[in-house]
Amino acid sequence: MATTWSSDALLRVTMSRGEAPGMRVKASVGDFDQVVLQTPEAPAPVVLAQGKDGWTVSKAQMGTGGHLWFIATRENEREVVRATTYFFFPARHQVPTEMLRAPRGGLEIVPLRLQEHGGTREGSRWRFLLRHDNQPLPGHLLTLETEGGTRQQFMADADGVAEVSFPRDFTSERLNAKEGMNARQEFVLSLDHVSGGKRFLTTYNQSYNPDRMRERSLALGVGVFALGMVFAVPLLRRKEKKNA
Amino acid sequence: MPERLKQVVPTLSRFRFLVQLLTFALSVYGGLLVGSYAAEKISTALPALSCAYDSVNGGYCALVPLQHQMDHRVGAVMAKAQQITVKVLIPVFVTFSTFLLFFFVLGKAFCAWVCPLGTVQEWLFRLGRRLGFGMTPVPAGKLRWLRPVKWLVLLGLVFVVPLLAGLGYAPHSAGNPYCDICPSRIVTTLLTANTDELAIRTGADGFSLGLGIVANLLAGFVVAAALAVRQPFCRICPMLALNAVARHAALLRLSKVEHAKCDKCGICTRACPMDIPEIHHEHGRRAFNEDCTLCGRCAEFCPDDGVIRLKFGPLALFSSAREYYKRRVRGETPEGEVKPVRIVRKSRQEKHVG
Repeated sequence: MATTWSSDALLRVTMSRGEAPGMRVKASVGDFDQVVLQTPEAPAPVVLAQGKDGWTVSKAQMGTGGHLWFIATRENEREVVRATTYFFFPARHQVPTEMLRAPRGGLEIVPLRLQEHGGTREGSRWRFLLRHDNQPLPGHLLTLETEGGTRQQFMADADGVAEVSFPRDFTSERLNAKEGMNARQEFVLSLDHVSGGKRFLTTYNQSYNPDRMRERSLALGVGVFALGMVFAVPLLRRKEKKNA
Repeated sequence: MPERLKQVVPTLSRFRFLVQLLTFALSVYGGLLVGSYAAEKISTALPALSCAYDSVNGGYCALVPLQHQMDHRVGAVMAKAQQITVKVLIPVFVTFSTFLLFFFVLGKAFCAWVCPLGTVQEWLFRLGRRLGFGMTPVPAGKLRWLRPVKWLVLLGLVFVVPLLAGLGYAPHSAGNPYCDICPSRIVTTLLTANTDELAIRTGADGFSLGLGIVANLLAGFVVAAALAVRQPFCRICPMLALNAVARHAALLRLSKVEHAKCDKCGICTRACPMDIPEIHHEHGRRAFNEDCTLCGRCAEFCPDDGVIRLKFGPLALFSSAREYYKRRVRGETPEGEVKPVRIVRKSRQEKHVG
């Protein structure tokens, strides 16, 4: 299903429900030539089978779980479009750093750390390595678009690393809905680069959650903590010894 | 080399302090020290009472999966299928047994050597001595009603309430009630300059708000009380109860033999940070009480040779000794009061002899 807030292609991964265990990958815009899956346990890319309703991941391909990295690619004479995302579910898993940083070629947005356990929240900062044919791209602009309507650009440093700060753009309607602080909004990072007369466009999409401090009061927390300390004050008095 | 080592680690307490320093850094600042993925791996394997292990994810403490499995697995399946299957019991058993495996090897030493909250409380008590606050031991009479609290916390907040949440009899927000009131959650995250856990959830339901208030009251009380009372939270900690289950089967344990002087002495209880009277009055298995944290202070301050021992299997790792005791009390009283350092200039004659 296409998005109204971004024209970029987004990959959406869902666990199969009510059928054989597995996953389904769909693209929001356009078609892709192929979608591959990489996991830290099986870093060699596995080409996924395409069905009428997207690409399917079998239980065997899912492996033991943990970090699953998806790359969708389409290519013609003028451009190479690549959409990436990842899926995480808690399970016995290996560290994904090596898999993510392994040379792949093409234009890439490599998360230096994957956002798991709902760690991506408004106001949090995440770092991404921008590279083309495994060479970092210092000074390049990484564009962030969110479902909340934010569009922002971040420049990569001398090592080709861009630090993305997630905006506070959840609307009150969204937060007051049933899901509350568990609400999610999608975001997409896009990187554009021209090399050898060919245009490369790569995206990375995932979701983020509201800032936890939206429903918390630090002042009340400090006050109650201080009250707890006051309750302990009688214990701190130095007692005179009876036979002193 | 052994002489140099003796200078750096002159006492068992100093050795424990160094281990605590290492485990504290690892469990509280681990994400910064070894990277987030490695921190996650270590924190999953270590039953640490630390939430700040990985400042982004929130690290794992053995009590987290126990509560979640009660809520999401056991409770949910009992509610849906009205049956407990192998699929449900195995994950609970695995969590419980990996956790207990740790204790079968190291025994209750987790509490006094690894736990970051235990370390913080100990350092606060030392600070209290420096600041001249009064010291409040917990008398044996009060211990009688205090001791069951940790079992009630374990049973109620780690097992029963999450199970009721899974069954639908308690609100969804009651899924991990122990974590919600755990002072380590607040204290260790504050130590990483993160105030999220100190803030109270005013926008959530009444149950969460109530737990938040209890948590902050408890954390504030523990932090201040630790200046005068040794290890105030450890006395009601469910982790202490959980590891007490396996204490007699553990390889690392405390051993005490009967001695004629024991009845009159009692220095071991005065040195014990948990004020355990049994280490004074009992011997054999009964001296190794459920409240013991295996800190080894009783063995350090026992003035008689070979009466109290820290043993790993058949090996005695540390044994009480009169000479060691004499050296130990020169710097610190059994209760933990630090004695002033004496600076005496050696006379020329002494220097010449030396």
